[in-house]
Amino acid sequence: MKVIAIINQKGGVGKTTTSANLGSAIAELGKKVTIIDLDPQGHLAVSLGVRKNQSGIDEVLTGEKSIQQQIISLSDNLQLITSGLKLKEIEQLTENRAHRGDLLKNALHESLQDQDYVFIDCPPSSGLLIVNALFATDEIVIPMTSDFLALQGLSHLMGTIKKFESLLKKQYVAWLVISRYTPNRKISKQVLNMLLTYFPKQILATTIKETTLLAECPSFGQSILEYRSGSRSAKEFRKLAIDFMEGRIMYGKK
Amino acid sequence: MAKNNKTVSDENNLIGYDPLAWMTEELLEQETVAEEENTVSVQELEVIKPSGSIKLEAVLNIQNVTPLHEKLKNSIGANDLIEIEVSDVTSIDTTTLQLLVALKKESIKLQKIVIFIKPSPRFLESAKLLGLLEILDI
Repeated sequence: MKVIAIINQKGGVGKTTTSANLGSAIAELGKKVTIIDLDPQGHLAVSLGVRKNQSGIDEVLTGEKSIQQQIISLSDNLQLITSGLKLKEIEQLTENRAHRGDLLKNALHESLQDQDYVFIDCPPSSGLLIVNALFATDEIVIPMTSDFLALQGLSHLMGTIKKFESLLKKQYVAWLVISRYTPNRKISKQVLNMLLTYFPKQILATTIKETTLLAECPSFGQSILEYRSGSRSAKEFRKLAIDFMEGRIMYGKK
Repeated sequence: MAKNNKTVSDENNLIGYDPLAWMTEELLEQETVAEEENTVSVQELEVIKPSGSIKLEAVLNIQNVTPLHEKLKNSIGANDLIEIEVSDVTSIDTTTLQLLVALKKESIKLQKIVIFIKPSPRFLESAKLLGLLEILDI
């Protein structure tokens, strides 16, 4: 079982889109995938067609339920654990602070061993939930838009990750996914070139272009693979799935 | 490509400064300075949390902009990341929006992050009306 955090403290960079569609694409390739919605906003569940408010990872973290009780099966290979309404409260817990960081790690390692990949869709914040995600994983995927403020956000995120690496004495395998890419904008190419300079072996080969279909599909509760299976966006996520599984990276400057 | 924090003189370059430059600098430092031995306890995780959280009031106008300015100034001085929750905002005037834009610009200059979370419909509407969605990064 590989546990991967889809993380970026900046909002609007495509974390949930990447979680839903990359997870679905890998499941389509026959791998067993569980996606966990660690964002109290609960958008991942809605994006995948689960609209009913129900408990999820929140009650796993509080010890009220086991992971197995919270699993929602979406297809043969794909399952979801929703965020749950109490997740926001967990972010704000103030008691027993020293022991809060490993709640998720402990829960995951009790279960889900039959899964090939467990993706954690992280919230756009830097609180307890992110601490839990970074405790639980050895591998991270960072969706990045190609604009200046995203670079600024990435700078902060890399600082946080380096602090964790130092504290936990481990090194994360980190991949960048270029999402919401608009190739006709000059600044997009310049940002991508800057990223290639700093992360020459970490940017997954396929860029995910900004498209209307990707904006539409969450409202239908479907991944892009279900919503428009033959679309460019669906093809990009299928390629990205192979990039991720095989470590195929982007080379050179765009 | 420039790898420093100075303004890039190349007029074709659309990126004014490089926020990732510290990564190269840190790498160079690591090559010359022996790595310190760390004995770490879980309690030290508290140090990691670099965020300040501020929740804005429902009604934001010129009458209460001064204390808000003070609050934001103190917060950006003390934190690398500030999350500003704007879920309760039911009324916001241009003075307050100007203050938030100034904060956002200052944060970029200081290489800090200001994030607006859970924007209320009225907050979104006002920011959109004044064409500030992009600069506020909402």
